[in-house]
Parts: sequence; C-alpha cells; structure tokens
Amino acid sequence: MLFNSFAFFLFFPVVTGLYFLLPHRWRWFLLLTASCAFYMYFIPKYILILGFTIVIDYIAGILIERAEGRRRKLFLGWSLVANVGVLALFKYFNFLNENLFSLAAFLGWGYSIQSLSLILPVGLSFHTFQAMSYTIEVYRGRQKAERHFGIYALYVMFYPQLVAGPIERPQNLLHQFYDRHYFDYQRVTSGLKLMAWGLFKKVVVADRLAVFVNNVYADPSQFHGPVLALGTVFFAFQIFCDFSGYSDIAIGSARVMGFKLMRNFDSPYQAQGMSEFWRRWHISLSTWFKDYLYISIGGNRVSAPRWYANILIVFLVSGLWHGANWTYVVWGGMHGFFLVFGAATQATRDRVARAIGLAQLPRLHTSLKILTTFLLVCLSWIFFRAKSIHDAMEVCTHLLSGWAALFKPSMLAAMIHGLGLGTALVGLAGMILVEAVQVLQRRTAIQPLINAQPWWLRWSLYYAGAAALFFLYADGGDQFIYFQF
Amino acid sequence: MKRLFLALVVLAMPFGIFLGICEYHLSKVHANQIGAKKHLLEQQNHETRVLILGSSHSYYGILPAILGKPAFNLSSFSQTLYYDDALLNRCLETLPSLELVILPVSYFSMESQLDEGIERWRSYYYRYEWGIPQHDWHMAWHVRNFSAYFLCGKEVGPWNVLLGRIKDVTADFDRMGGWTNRPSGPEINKNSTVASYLQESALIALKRQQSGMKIKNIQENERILNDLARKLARKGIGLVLVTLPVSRYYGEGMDPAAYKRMQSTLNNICSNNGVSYLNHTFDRRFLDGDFWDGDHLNAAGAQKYSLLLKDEIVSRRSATKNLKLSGNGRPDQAEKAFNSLRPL
Repeated sequence: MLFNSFAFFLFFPVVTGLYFLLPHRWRWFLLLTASCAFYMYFIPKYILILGFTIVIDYIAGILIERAEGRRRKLFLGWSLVANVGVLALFKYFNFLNENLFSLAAFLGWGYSIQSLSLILPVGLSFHTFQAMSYTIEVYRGRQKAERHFGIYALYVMFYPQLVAGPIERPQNLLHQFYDRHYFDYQRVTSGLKLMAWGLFKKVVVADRLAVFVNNVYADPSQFHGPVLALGTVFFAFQIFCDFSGYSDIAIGSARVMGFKLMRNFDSPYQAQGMSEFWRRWHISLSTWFKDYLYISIGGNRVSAPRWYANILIVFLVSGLWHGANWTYVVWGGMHGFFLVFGAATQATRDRVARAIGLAQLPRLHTSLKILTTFLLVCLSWIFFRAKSIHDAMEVCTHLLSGWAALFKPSMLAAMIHGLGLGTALVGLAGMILVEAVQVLQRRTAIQPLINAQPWWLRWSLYYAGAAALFFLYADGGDQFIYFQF
Repeated sequence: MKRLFLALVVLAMPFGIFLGICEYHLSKVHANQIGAKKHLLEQQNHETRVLILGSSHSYYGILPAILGKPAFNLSSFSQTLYYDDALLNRCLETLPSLELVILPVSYFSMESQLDEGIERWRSYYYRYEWGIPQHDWHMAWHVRNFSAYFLCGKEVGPWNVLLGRIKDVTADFDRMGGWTNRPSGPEINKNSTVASYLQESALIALKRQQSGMKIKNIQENERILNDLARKLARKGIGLVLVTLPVSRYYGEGMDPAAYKRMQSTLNNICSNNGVSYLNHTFDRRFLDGDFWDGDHLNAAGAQKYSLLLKDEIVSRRSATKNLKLSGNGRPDQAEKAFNSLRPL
C-alpha cells in the first residue's frame, strides 16, 4: 500500500482508531495484522518470503543467545546466509547471470543458465537489513533475543517503516511494542502534521519535478546541457522530497500511535562536504553500513590505503544495495571516490583556502563548500537516475554543450518545449519552500514555533497546507522511488 | 480524541463543501467521452443493431451513421479487449435489436492490457461510468473510482468545476457515438510534409504501443475473445473482427513477429468459433491522404472505410448470414512482403 493512496487514507485512521480503542495486550496483534495487509496489498504471495526470513531470524536470535563460542558465529552465519540468500536470489541473480553471460560470450565460452522471471519484492533490501541488524546485535550481546514471536515479526514488519525505512535497530524499536501508548493530542497532531508535510514533499514537489525529469531522462541524447543540467538538479530535489517525504510520513504515522522512529534526513543539501552529506542523507542506511560493515572491516583504525579501500568497499556495496545495475555501482563508487579524495586532499585544500584568503571569508567559504558538495552529488545522481551507463555517459558528455542557448530565449524555449516545465515550476516553488523550512529547522524547532503563533495564523497555515495538497498534487505519481530497493 | 475529531472536521469542512458542489455540478453533465457515449447509447438502446467497439483506431475510423443500419460506436482511446468485453457484458441485455458486433483488433490489441500500460489512468473512467472493475485489483481503491471531481476535475480546472463551467462533451458526438470533430488531414507545419509527419507519428505511436505489449497477455485476450464469440453466438448476434487500415509507415514499423502472433491467434479464434476476420492493415486502397497521423484515419479515410465496412459486412450480412469476406486469410502482396521480414 502506498502512503499517497486513497487506500492508505482509509487504512490509517481505521488502524490508528482501533489501536487506541483496543486494550494494550491486543495491540501488537492488530499492528501485525495491519502490517501484513499493508504488505500484501503489493503482491500477496510475497508475504511468504518475509515469513521465511522472520522465522529463520527469530530462531537464530534465540539460538545465538543460548550458544557459546563458535556456535554463536555459526547461527549468525545461518541467519545472514538466509537473508543475503533471499536478497541475492530476488535482486541479484539475474544481474549476475546476465554479466556472466556477457563475459562468457566475450571469452567465447558456452553459458546457458536462464534468467529467472521474478518480480522484486517491494522493500526487500530494507526489511532484510532490519532483520540482519537484529541477529547481529544479538550476536554482539547488545540486544536480548526476542521470545515473543509476534513482537519479533512486528519488529520486521511494522508497517510505517516496512517498505522504505527508516531501517531501525532492535534497541530502538523492539521495546516500544511493549510500552503502553496513550492518546496524546499534542503528539498525535504533531505526527499528523509531519505526515502532511511529507505528503506535500511527495505529491506536490517530487511528483511535479518528476514530470520534467522523466521526460529528460527518457532519451537524454535529445537534449543539450541546460536541459540536462536542469533535469539533473530537479532530480536531486525530486529524490530528496520523494524519499524524505516517505520518511516523514513513516515517522509521523508511527508518532501518532506513540512510536518513535529514527530521523532519516537532516538537510543533506546543506552539507559542506561528502562525509557530512552522508551524515545527513538516508541516515538509517549510512549508520547501518558504518556499524555493520565499515567497522567490521576495520573502519579508520587501519593504515591510510586500507582505510581508503574500506571506504570504497562500503560505498560500492551501498551502490549495489540500491539496485542490481552497474549505474548504482558507479554511483556508489563515485561517492566512495569523492570521500577518499576529500580525505586525502583535506590538508592541501585547507592550505589553499588560507593562502588565497578564503578562510578569512567564512560565509563565502561555507557557501562554496555547500555548492561544490551539491554539484558533486548531482553529478553522481546522473548515474543513479539514468537507465544505463550509456545514457549516463550521454548526459555527462552533453552537459557542457548548448549553453549559448541561455542568451537566445527562442532557442531556450524550443529546448524545453513539451517537457512539462510548467508543471515542474510549481514543484520548483515547493522545492524552495522545503529548503527554506530546512534552513529554519536548523535554527529552531518548527512545530513549537507554529504552536506559539496566534490561532488565526496557525489555522491559516493549516488551510494553506491542506489547499496545497488538495489542489496542487500531481497526477500520476503512484510510486516512491525507494520502493524498488 | 473529541478535540482531534473536531479539529479535523473544521479543517476538512471547506474542502468537503467544495467537493460537494463540484460533484453536484459534474453529476449534471457528461464531462468525459466515456460517460457521454454511455448516455447516448442509453438513449437509443432499443434501436441499435450494430455495435462498434475497439480503440482509437475505430474511434476515429468508423462512422456509425453511414453503416446503413442503426449503429453505435462505443470505442474509446486505448480501449483493450478486456474493456470491450466488459462493456458488451454491461450493455448486451439493454440492446434488444442488436444483430452485429464489429470488434476492431489492432496490431497491439492481443498483447495489451490497459491497466498495465502508461494509459492505465483511463481505466478509472470505465470504473466510474460503467462500474467495470479494473483488471489490476490494486487500482480498486483509487479515489478516482468514486469521485467525479478526482476523475476529471483537474482536467476541467477546479474553479471551472466549482462555478459549473463544465463542457458537456456529448455535443462532440452524433447520436450514434460517432465523433463529429474529425480532423480532415494531418497536422503538418512548414517543416514537414504529409509523408514525414505520418512517418514520425507512426514511430511515436508504435514506440508507445509496443512498450505495453507483452506476450503473456495473449492467452487472456484470446480467452476473452473466445468467450465473447460464444456468448454472442448463443444470442444469435454476429461478430466480425476487423483490423483497420494504418499508414504504410506504421505497417512497416510493426514487429513482424508480433504481427504473426496476432494473426495466428486471430485465425485460431475465427476457426474455433466460425467468426469472420477482415484484415485491412496493408489495404493499399488507403493512401497517405486518408490518415491524419501514422495509425488513425482522417475524416475522408473514415468515410471511405465506413463505406467499405457497409459493403463488406453490414449489407452482406443482410443478404446472407454466411459471410465470406475478402480479407480473411488472403494476405495481399504488401502483407506477404511484411511477413517475410525478420522479427525486430
């Protein structure tokens, strides 16, 4: 079920209403049933895959806790193999098979394993990672094994964050299913406002920008630099508003029922460097990789070359996590390279900034760092958004062409004609609003600020927000980008 | 909880009132062509003897008024066989005089499902106007199934709907469901010729249509056609499958393998059910001047084709129940040449 669907508009109040009406001892059952229904709305039979990994990880958790010595590692291994195996089968088998086929054809070898006709279960990478974090935490002794099967299943399946995160840790979420949550007007309205804000980002900003982006990236070879650059910048904000909008709705809907989910975004496009960007973008995934992969392979407590290799490994895996396509691998590799390059040249860049006097102009220096980071991120988004490496290269090679059109309005108008710029302009206005709110958010908490305003101003804001959702939503925006992962 | 409920009611009230007024205004007119055609058909369901279904090919290409018998054109843009069948099921009992159903089957029809393609949004109109459930059950809970405002209010413009300034599109059709605003020729500009325009538009149409064609859909569409043929036979109503002419550029751009699959499936259906099939895909009587784009007939082409249908189907059927059609199973030279091409 999609958060931006009429079905969810009916589902959410019914489930939330029942949640507060039911006695505490039945609430886990209600949430589990609702989460199953939420998941089965996509492809019902795929609940069996989820059920399989839930049973494996539930048993593995108990066995790991009971076992000692090498047997703990063995049970953890079973759990990881089962989870990664499901992921590999559904997400990576065909990718690997096609690449082996190409390699065999290149080398002149016979290779005839057929690709599988499988549809990727929605949100597979998200709930698999959440399940893996449970068994790893139990193995590390930082989390007790959950004995209540229903509660464990709910930890994996909790519907607000089931299909696109935030990827929660057991320490943060599991105990909350045992806590009693009472109806609290302030908390409920705060959750609803966050949901509305997330919905605005999705249906007004992301879906409108998507019209232009989709037209440009459908066949990038047809366009020159200005259109490709605009399409890429629009995509940067589309994916941010799409995914952070989803996260806001997830966090907000959980908050309404009294659950606290982790923050997933923190004004990422205001980052002053790539490492800061990754502390602000998809926080639940980047911390997952840091905790369970980066640190496991040595982190930064190793020699410099090894450290750089660790960074590259983490980001290549992160790219593959997003999708079984070379475009995502390149995207991950680019981020890894930016980070390594940034770390390796930090001292030199600081010296240059001092030498040319930039360090004495902190505002300009900060602005330049934000702009550079944003441009590098946009450059990587080209590979993330393009259908193939060929298309991405097409965008990169044409990015600098045709800028003379900026001085010829008629040529510029011809370039963007029919691409849906009119639709995207409303999205652009929304994008500016979203960025302005984020700047404000870093200085002060928004909701208490709104609550402190006189009633007529608050209600004017609420009506304006509701009117924007009602009148400005974009038709045809049915999917969230991150659902495919 | 009461406080929250009250706050939500106060917040939603202006939008509820707005929606109520819009729904009221939209209930008074037929703001979309599917509703308009339904309304027109209901007005003459007792007279209608020939029913035409199909996609935009028949929407533009068949003029019911010149078929020589009371006919009704119930075709619509991108209407797939699932919706042809469902429409027929909805209106069959209300058409006591129905003698013949002309079902156009286009190059893409056997491998397409409206709900899977980029024009899936059209299916909400069938659900709202005719109560036809979507082929894809995920679409069952979409707000456009239940609200005329969300169905077409945005196209008309919210303020126009609120103020009741809504065009009733019934006026765009004659009383037999024939579209009255037929284009007389291709929309060419100074940079293009008729041929280049037809060529370009044919390629665009093929790209769009082929993106939604999936072999897995053949089985279900074949079942739909077989069931439909049996159902009509039981009621003594004739069924003729036709494929309308397309420009030569469109014909040349088709995937020969897909075309062969289509022909083979249709031949099976025809031989199993004694149904006639008239294939005009490569009919060279239709020249560039008969089309307004790569795969749609213009006003002159539609008239020419409708007269041809009148001669070959409607009049003959009056003379004899046992139709022998010229196009059936006899590929002409152009088709033979096309069939010899390798699949794309």
